[in-house]
Amino acid sequence: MGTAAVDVPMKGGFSFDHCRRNEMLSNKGLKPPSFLKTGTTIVGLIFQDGVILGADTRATEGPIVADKNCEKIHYMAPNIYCCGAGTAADTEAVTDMVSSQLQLHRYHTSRESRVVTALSLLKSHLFSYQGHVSAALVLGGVDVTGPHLHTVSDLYIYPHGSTDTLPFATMGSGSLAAMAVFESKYHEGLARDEGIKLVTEAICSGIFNDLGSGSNVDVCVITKGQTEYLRNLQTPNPRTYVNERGYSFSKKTEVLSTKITPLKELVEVIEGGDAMEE
Amino acid sequence: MNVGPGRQGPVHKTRPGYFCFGNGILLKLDLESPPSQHSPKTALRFAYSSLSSRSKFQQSPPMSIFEYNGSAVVAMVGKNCFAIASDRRLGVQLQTIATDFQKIYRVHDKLFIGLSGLATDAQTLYQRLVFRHKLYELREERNMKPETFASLVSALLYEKRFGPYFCQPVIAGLGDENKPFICTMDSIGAKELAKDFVVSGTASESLYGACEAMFKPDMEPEELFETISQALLSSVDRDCLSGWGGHVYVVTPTEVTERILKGRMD
Repeated sequence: MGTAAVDVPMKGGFSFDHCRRNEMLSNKGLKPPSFLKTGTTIVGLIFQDGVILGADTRATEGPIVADKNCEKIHYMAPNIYCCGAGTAADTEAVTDMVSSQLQLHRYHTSRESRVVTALSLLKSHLFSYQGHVSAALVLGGVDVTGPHLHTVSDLYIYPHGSTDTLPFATMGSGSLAAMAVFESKYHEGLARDEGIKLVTEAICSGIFNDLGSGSNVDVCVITKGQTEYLRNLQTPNPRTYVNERGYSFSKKTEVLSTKITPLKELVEVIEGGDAMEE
Repeated sequence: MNVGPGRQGPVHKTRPGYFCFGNGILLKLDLESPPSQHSPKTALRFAYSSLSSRSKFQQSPPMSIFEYNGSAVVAMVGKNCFAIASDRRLGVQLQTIATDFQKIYRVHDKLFIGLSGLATDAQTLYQRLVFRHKLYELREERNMKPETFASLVSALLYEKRFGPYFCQPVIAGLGDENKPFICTMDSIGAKELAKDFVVSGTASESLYGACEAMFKPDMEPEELFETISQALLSSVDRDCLSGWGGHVYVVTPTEVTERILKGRMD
């Protein structure tokens, strides 16, 4: 934080202020915190005229389902999207960071972003943090050189930040379940409908066979000049235990004190009226 | 819970380093320094710490730093309104320090943040948020939108990715055209947006269950208050580390109602 007494907004980058204190606490036998994870099934494949990405929508914190309908397909550029698995904050931050770098790059060059540019930015960030930023990504998009699908892995393979270029890919805790589907049914030159069906099937395989994945299916179809984000394309796990009449409470809660603060109406200032007298 | 036969009556093992006697007195053990460094006065302590090594195989798992002070925070969305509630206890592990502790902070009239977790970090984080919000107000001459504020909190937390604040914030506010917004985060700023309710704190597991059962969409302010209060009180009754009543804010486009709930005092 520098020498300033007041902590003015920083320019960016990580701050390591609390590291020593937190290490002291964990040496004293206090368990370090657990973070929000997306124990996930994310997939992607290349079809006839583009790329299809898919993801489940469960976020977990240990054994608890923290979010039943979260978004794991992140925007990178109008023609590039990216599925994220791993620590939720890391996947969110790294994709946001790279997407803004890509936007600036587009302003500078006045050209559509390329998938390899996103890939290089992602991998150089992950590599420079040597596995401490834990994100496993499936990156897909269509650019001037055609459709591309990559995986950026940080969790399993050393040195963290390795990448792959594949016709079909899976990641996350449900990757085996999803890959089983892809391996048996994927072939080159899939039609759009077939592709969406296969991706949905692979995600469903993760949802039902992997406990870290669950809830709904999100799909993103990227073709030349067009992107279609199909949020909650399938909802195979609707709530079955809703009480129609809701819940009523026989005994009201005991209130010790009540304070009501009325809020002031916003005063609208209309310009161009009579000028104030001097 | 482990129970070991003590030399002066039964001694109940509670958390690592602490022993609870039958009469409820807590004794902190100094497990860190070796016995040779201690004067005879501290001999008693080691009589008990040797006891702990006897039953080491039964020791409870290490306490999480989030459980040090204890907290329960919840927010719910209603029809053009929202409610945010917390418990009122501040403890140091199992000992209660204060029973009127504020965990929900007002950012502006229609924006509130509840901070669960380690109280010292919660207060530091709140001060930094107030500072950043004031700078924004001065520059922009308007209130921050809840979505913007959530991004600010997320950025402040992620900045400390490798040495986090031990805080789990809950943000609730009314946005453009009084649309309610609620959101929670983990301690490194992973945003979790929800349409119905969000929870955090040591009682979060029981809050998930209570809210999942009691919540229904589009509640009016009065019903929303009753639902969030019942969910909070029933959840903290199943959590040792939070409780002692509740603090509930119900915010509508025209007014803020702040109520203090009576709860169990154990």
